[in-house]
Amino acid sequence: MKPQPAATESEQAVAAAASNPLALLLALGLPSPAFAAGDVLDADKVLGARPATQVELVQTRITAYDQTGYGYQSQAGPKAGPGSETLHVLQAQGEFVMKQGENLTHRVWVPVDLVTSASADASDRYYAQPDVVSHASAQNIAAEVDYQLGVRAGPETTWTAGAGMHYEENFLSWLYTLEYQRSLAEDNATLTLSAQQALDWFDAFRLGGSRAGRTSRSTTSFNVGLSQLLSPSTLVAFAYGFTLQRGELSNTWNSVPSTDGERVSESLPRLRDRHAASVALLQWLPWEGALELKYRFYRDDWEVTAHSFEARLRQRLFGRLTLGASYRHHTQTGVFCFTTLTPLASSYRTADSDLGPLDSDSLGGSAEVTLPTRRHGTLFLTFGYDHYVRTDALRVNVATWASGLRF
Amino acid sequence: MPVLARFAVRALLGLAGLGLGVALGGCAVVPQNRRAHFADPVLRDSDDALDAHRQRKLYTTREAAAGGDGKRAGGGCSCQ
Repeated sequence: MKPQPAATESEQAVAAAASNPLALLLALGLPSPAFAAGDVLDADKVLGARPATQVELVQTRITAYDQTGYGYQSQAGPKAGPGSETLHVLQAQGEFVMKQGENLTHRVWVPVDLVTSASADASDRYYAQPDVVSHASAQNIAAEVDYQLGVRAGPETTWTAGAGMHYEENFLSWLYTLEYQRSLAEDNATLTLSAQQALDWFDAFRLGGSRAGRTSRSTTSFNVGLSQLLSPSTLVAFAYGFTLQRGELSNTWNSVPSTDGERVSESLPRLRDRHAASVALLQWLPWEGALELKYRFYRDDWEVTAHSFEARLRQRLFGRLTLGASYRHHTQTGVFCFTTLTPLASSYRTADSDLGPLDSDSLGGSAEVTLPTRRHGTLFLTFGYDHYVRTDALRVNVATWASGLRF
Repeated sequence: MPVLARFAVRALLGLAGLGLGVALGGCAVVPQNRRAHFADPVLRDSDDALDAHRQRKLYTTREAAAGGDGKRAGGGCSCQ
């Protein structure tokens, strides 16, 4: 039997209108007894009142990170040499987006991380006290809850406010965000201004594992973003972000090999200014594909300068399958106090491999299948894989899979 | 590298200024009835917040350069 062609959107709209006599009269261009001349047509009168709330998106995503490598900050190795940075993270995320009326959008996001870390575990081997990293050593669960409320204040303006809380065994954070978004030039351009504040309150540790009370950190970020349509298939976006960090900027358990053959604690300045600017180009491709190119520049007052280039390609096949590929290259200079062997008299020092000079490359791929359902929106299933490698031989394999419903 | 960095900063500031001018100047180059491609899921997939979060975590916890993407840069996690 020959398959029936899928109904087009206009056919579906006519079918929907046909179920409502008033809408049908309107669709046929006939005068309706319910409307006198001069009446203003109201969509609610014609099609019936819209539901007060409507779910737009429900999705979950599971991601597994498998990391191997060596860094001088880790005590999982010889005292004067680099230690293991083996790390496994299982991350679960859930997202729920709901629209309330025409002007309110609610978003709830819950990420949970299950972390095991050899670098932290190793502290137990060298020192008597267990749980040197806060019980953050052998296994740690980090959870966060974020809520955002978007308010459409006018046809061109949206305000978004959000708050969240992050919890780990030794660590508590409060998170706030405020965003202003305005459409310009008949929606050809969008201006976004945002501010974020994170307050971290956490245990400080001595290198031997004993606690040294509580300490804190404040992170304030301001961002501006601009996007502009250049053609019916091209969009360009600019972004700039400034971040000011104050307080204890070390995790307090990183160590540095010292010239006397022992290890000393990492010591970092209590202030950091960070600047990042980027430009991105999004291009629709006529064979049902998309290309995204992005360059990002970063500079801070700890003397880190970084450049990142990223390319993403997506291609739809057979209507319901979308394949993606991505590549990213990153290069950075190290912070001014990075060393793998510190004199005891130094005021600032770190051997954290993340803060050293390095290049990194990341290559990834993904596949997504979408399955429209009759009553419950579109079901989507996604699988992705990324391989990340740094010039200091740190490697991370990332596997991720997601599923959900878009309405 | 400092010369390159200065050049990159100026280039980006110039581009940002150009973008600001274009945006605030009201550059309406694409009428509403010709924006169908921007509603295509193959373009909208880049908006997936959970995918963006897992990628950001991969990079910001292993490199010293975070920020500029409208999200908080550092803080909120002991691994940063």
